[in-house]
Amino acid sequence: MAIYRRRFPSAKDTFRIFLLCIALFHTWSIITYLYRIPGLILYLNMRDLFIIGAYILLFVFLECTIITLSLSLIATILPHNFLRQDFIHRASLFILFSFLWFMVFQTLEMITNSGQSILSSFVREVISEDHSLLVTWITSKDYASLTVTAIWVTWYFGVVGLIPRITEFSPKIIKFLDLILDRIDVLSYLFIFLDITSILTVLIRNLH
Amino acid sequence: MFSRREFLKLLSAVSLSTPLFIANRNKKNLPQITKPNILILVFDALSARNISLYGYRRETTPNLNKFAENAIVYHRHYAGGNFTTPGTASLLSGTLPWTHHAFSAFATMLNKPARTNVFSILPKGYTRFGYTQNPLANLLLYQLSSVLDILPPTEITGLNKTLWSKKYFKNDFDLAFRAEHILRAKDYPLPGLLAQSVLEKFQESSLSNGLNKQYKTQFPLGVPFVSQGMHFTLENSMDWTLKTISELPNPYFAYFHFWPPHEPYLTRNDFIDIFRDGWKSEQKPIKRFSMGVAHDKLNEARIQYDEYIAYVDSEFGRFHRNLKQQELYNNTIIIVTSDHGEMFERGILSHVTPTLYDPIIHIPLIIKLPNQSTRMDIHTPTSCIDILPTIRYLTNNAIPVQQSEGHILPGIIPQTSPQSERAIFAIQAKSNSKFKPLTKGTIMMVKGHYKLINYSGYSEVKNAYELYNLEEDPEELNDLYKKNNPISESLKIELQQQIEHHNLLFKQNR
Repeated sequence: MAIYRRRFPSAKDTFRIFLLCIALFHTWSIITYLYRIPGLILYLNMRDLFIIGAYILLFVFLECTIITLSLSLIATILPHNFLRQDFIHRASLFILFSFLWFMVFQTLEMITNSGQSILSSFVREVISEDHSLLVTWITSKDYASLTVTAIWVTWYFGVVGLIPRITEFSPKIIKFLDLILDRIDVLSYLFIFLDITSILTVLIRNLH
Repeated sequence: MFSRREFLKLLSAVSLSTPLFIANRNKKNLPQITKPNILILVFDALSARNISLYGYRRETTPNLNKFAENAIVYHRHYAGGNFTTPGTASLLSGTLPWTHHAFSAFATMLNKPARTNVFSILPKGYTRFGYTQNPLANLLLYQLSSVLDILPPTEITGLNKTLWSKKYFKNDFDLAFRAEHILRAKDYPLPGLLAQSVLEKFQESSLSNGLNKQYKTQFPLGVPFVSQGMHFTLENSMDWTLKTISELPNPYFAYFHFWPPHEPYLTRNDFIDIFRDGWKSEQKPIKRFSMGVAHDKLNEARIQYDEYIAYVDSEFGRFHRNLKQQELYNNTIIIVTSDHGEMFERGILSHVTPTLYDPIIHIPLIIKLPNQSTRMDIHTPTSCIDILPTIRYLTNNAIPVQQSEGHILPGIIPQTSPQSERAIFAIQAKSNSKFKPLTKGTIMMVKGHYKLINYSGYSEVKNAYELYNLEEDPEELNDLYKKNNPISESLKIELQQQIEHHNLLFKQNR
């Protein structure tokens, strides 16, 4: 048991990371849902809107659970001084950065009028003005999406790799993370209450 | 007799490669067939204006032309609306959007008009089958699932995509699907499930690249896909359709709704560039709601659309030839139609527009009756809402149809003269609430040679009309609408009376 206790992050820390996940990802999902409401009320009543909201919250809840558990598992597998050490701050920074990265990714990957994502258009139209052989190859129709994927993955893992160094040498960031973790609790518990209601709603709708 | 639930269970247990109906029902023991099978093939966004059967200058549909040699061809057939939801809802319910109120994308019909539909009016003994590749039409079929015997999932003809809502929430598919659409949508606005969507995007990109590579020789422009991300080939879809109907218990009523030639126009290799003939369509006057698309770009899109139609037609031809080999072909009524058209003019591309010009609502309708051996051409205006009463007539059903607003199609009842002065309507009201009377939208009325279009409730156009003489001006170039003109006024009064009448009925039914 001792080895597990040493390698796994504590339940208390894991739960705090879970609360952070809940606050961030639920806020995003609820905003995107609210964005759709003006269109939905044209043909759905309040009851239907509530049930759709329940499904949405259920899935976001599952997503947060999977992220938190995956992060704990990664902390266990990777060397101790990468994520397990000072887990609460490093995992918080990981979640915050990933959240921001996901948002930027989704925004830039939105399909534009040209039928391509913003980054794909950039890669194919801006970079390809330089007609060197390598650039022509990476911006060609067959490889543009691979190039875009490579850009995203490099950017993501490049920054994630720096997280242990950031938390080690920047007390200001640690202070900022503590501030966030302290303040999101109330919002997270509210979302968890909504999640429980949603799970019950979905169960009632499907268990008959 | 199989119950609907048994069929659905059976369907969920089988894949494309296995026989669909391994049933204890032996075909040899089938009762003697006296009632005809009915097969409806709906090709999404197929405009009659781009079909050579209807006089289009490019030879887009040689196979449809051949099929029409032994069928009734309706030359002035209109959809109920200008996109899938209102168009399909009208076809299925036999009512216009001002009655069924499925105005917006992803909307379903009001319950009362939906109760009478093409499936419910069939007499006992018919196997009722519905399938669509279009997610909007799928919601409408699900709304009618209580009267359907078989409703296979959309993905059955797909090459990749699985819907969670269908897999895990079958009992509550309608609302679960809407939630899933918000969570996983790749279109505007952003998806609700942030992290999962990122992973899915990478996964789909790799799947899509894999499929595009796999089918590169056949589809160099990319493998066709529907807006939800499901990739498919029409070859597979048509083969599955043929196999399915050959295994359906007789008599059957089978509704198949295919995505092509809906955009993206990803035609097969042998049809690429076949219409690079230098022809450019005439530039038409822009009255309102232009998307600002340049005329050259519209012409380019038109070429791609025409080439995609040629592919659809070729697959339809192959399907028809194979169907002819089947024993029951001569006892089958085959109906080929669409839910709405497509547009490449006036700065408007595709069909996301408030306008109701002919290319977007003039759709094909070809009906082949059992043992029919000659062609009949009908030039009287008809509407998709006429299909329901026609099916009822053809199946000798005594069930009274209360809600249907349509008429039995001309040419079906022998020796009857068509009603030339009947008014035909199509409605676009995406921004009008389903729960409120119709006040905001575009309504068109065709009566005789004239077509009146009314725009009302838009911020850009409070109340405006256009009038065209389709006999003299089929391209709708000269707007004849003038106040105090007797024709304008009489049509306007009739249209207003119809709107008021249907809004009153709506209020009474609420």
